[in-house]
Amino acid sequence: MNLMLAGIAWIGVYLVLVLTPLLILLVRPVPGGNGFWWDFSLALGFAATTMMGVTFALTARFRHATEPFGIDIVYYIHRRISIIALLFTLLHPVLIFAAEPYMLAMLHPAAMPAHLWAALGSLLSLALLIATSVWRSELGIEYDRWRLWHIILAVAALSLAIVHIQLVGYYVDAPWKKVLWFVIPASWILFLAYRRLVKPLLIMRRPYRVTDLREERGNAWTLVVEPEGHSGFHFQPGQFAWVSLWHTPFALREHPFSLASSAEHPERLELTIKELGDYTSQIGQVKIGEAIYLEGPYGAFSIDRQPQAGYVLIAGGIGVAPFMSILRTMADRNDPRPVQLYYAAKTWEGLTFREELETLAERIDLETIVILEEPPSDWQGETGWITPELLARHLPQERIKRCYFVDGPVPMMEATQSALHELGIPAGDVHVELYDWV
Amino acid sequence: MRRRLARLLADISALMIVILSAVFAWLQNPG
Repeated sequence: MNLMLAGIAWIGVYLVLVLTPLLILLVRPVPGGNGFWWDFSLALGFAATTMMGVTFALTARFRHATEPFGIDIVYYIHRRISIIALLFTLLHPVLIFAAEPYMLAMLHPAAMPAHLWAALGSLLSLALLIATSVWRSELGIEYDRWRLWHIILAVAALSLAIVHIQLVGYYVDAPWKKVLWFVIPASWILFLAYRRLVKPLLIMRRPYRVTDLREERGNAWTLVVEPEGHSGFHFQPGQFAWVSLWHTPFALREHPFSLASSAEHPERLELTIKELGDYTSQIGQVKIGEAIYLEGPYGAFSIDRQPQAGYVLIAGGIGVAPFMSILRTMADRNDPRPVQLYYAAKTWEGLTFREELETLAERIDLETIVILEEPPSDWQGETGWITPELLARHLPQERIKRCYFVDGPVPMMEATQSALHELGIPAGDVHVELYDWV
Repeated sequence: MRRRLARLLADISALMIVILSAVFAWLQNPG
């Protein structure tokens, strides 16, 4: 409930941040109205600018602000708000030209005033920013390169919008309004400075060392890291951290990984990473003693936030990593609550943590249902995909009283959520970590 | 569920911005 109230409070803060600069425009002296649609379009233009600015705060990763929602949701809101800001930015000139068609003549390149060039630059930067974010994979843009251009385009879109507002001068003609409409956007850029300069500095002051590296089944590696010269951080089982390896936190090269170890042992953290891409395929080459930087913990994907009578954990592949943290923590806490783990993987030999799951079943009330895509010839268990029929075969009678966590590839998570919905599990009892931000 | 909630939050805040922009325009152009 407290988290709910905190969430509502933060939404209020967001609206105040977006709307205050708009309300300032109504403080006298105010120029006369120019017709409803004209002023409506201007208000939308100002609002779109403040929305762009506030997104810098949304992505600054303030842990207390993101806690009520989970940072994945904050990134999702950021994405949605940015698309709406683009819509408002497009509506702004459309409404103006519809209200005053003679102004279309100003769009001729030879006659276009500086403020319109700035507006055009801002609009194009924002459109490019949204397009490269929504279709990054389809466009084949590498993640680290995308992040750099995302920042450049965001700063360009906001700065040029401010230049446009200042050059037009309408509504900000009073000197104090002019100054305010410069100071407020500049403070938004400060959020970026905090995120990219201050925060990395703070993270660097709390380094970790790699103390062990274990090869796991299924082309995965477990990195064991320990805080150096500080006490580390406490986390909830199921949360994740941003990891900077081989680079300082200043480089735009940190990656989010689930914490797989027990939350009861924050002094020794484990991250299990599967070889999936350019970055993760090098994990096996990490040297013992190497410096590593962790930013976290983040995420709302934890049993500690859902104190229910029992849990159903549904994993696809390396999506089992946060569930290992949950199971190991429950074992360390002597937690008597029943847990079912549905674990979908390609092969029996590649089933990460296969042996440890058997050991854990002796310490806690754990039932593991393995679903194999390519089962061995003598396999007696489940095969194929997670379907409503498969779940119905194993779910307990009191399935409605359980809390469900799903983690794995996006199509698997979506199919599983549909299956649970079909079985009558309330959507509020199904928790997923969202990865498809970009 | 959480994704839908995120969309709802963003959309509600956008709607409030549209309403307040309309109020702004109306205050500037009463009647």
